[in-house]
Amino acid sequence: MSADDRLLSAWLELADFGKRVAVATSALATVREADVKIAQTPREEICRLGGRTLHRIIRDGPARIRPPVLVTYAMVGHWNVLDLQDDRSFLRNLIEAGCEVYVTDWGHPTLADQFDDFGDLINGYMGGFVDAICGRHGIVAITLLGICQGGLLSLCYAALNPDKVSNLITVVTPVDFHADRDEERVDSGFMNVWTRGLTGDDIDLLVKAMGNIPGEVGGTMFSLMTPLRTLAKYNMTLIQAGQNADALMNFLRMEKWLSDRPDHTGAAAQQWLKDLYQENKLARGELIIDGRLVDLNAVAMPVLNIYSETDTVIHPRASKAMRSRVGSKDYTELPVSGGHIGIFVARSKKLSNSIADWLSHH
Amino acid sequence: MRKSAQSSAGAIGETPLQAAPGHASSPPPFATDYLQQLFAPWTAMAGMWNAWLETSEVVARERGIESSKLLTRIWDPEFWKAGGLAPLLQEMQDVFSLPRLADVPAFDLSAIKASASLLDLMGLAQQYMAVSIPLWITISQNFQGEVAARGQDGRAVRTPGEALDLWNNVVDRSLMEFSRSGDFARLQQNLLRALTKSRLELRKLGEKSSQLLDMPTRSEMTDVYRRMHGMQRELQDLRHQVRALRRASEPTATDQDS
Repeated sequence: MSADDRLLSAWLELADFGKRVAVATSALATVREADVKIAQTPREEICRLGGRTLHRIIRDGPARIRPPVLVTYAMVGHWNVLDLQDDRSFLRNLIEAGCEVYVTDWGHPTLADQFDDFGDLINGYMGGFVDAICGRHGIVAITLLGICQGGLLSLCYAALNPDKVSNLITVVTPVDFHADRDEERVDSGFMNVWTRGLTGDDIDLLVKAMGNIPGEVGGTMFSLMTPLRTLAKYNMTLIQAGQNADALMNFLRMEKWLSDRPDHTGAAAQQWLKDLYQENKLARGELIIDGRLVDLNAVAMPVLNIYSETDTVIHPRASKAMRSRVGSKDYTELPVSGGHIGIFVARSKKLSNSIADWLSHH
Repeated sequence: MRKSAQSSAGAIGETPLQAAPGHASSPPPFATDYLQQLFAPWTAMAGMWNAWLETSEVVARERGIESSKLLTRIWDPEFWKAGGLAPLLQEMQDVFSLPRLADVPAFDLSAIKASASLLDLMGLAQQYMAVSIPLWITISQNFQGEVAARGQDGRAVRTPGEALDLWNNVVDRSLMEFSRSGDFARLQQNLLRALTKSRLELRKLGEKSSQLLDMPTRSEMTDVYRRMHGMQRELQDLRHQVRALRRASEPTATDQDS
């Protein structure tokens, strides 16, 4: 290729880029904040404990799969990513697959919630919600489906209250927080490395200064995991998305979810970062909640553990460590393809169908 | 010494200029009194200066050495790294602190300390710059290395688009590697500490303002939240106990049958 050809090629690329920017800008100009809607699947509020709410996803007709499923997402993000849009809704897919679905909504913790620790989250709020669901359906046990940190909370609840959990499903859930050391990858386990770089006193000081851990701290962590994707988000990615109206709305819905990061209650964050990320107490069988040891051997109900080999947030080994820790003889591992969030916002119904299929056999 | 000076000074006014009876062998009373009168002011002045010398020695020992050590730290380049100024001011305050006097207004240094925390944060920005410049040089070198390697493999970069993709990949990988390095961990730790300390200092300022305006302070509200949390826990325990008692008191199927 001659120098003239290269110059011409560069000129054409520049012109094409300019055109794409113009198209994206005009597409963006037609969208208002009110047009970007998420969590549109109909739901009803069942009960409220403090600032936490139990929702039921409304379904037409009776559920094919019993018992009901309580879905619990992490406190560091809002649950509505599970219902991002009609054709990318994990919750909608679950009810279409035949499940009766309830969702834990951690709300937006304020400074009044700063002393809520794992005991409050697990025994207080989750316990209250499980009792409410059992009361509505006249049953004694339900299925727990926990995602990421919500999976860990569900796992702990199951260990502390095995008689109230008929099945346990965990998705991209960390159990061994030091497993990333066995297989160091540049694209995974950043949170583990970052947290271990601090001292327990640093975390105490942070909680003392802030009360709760602001959602922005979590947001910054996620941005640092994929630095270039963050740097390129509002130029390359947005311009690419802006070439198509649907793609642009997908992008904006995800942005809406990302911008709504709830704070993490201070006391629970101290346990999350110190007891788990730093000291790995759950995997070592030393985690104590409300004065009770969390004994994973007590998790004897059927367990479905779903993880992703390409998860940049939770190292797959951290999830797979559950196999050797829980007491269940009916343990199933299901690897899925996709990112930590991507698996819930994909168009494919494979994840929800796999869960429904597993549940229908238990 | 100060006591003796005072007693000498007191003698000036009290001693009469008359000879005492029964002291025939001693020097003439007039001469003694004269000498006493002559030296008394000098002795008094010497006593005073001696007292001040002792005072300065005490001040130097108790406060001066400590404060000199603190001021010496300012010349140490390590000091200007983030988080150095606010603790220094705190130590200075401790060194120069005096017992609280009821009718003397207290000096409030919280504004200075808050400013010091902000200066520490600014110092941290310099540290970030110091780390990021070599990092970007490394990224550029890596990019050049990649371009050269691709050229040798027969996959030379032909268009600006290809070059941009390659650049993005190199930047992404280099930044991810850096964000897992010890240097980055230390920077993050310093940032966290500087931010939290700054916030705590600012909170102290806020609390002063709240007190002036008769508004609840953050500390008071935190105390209220702690009590509220404790009460919620108690309420929850009581509810559990009531439910358990209700279940225990409900007649079982066997009871009804009998």
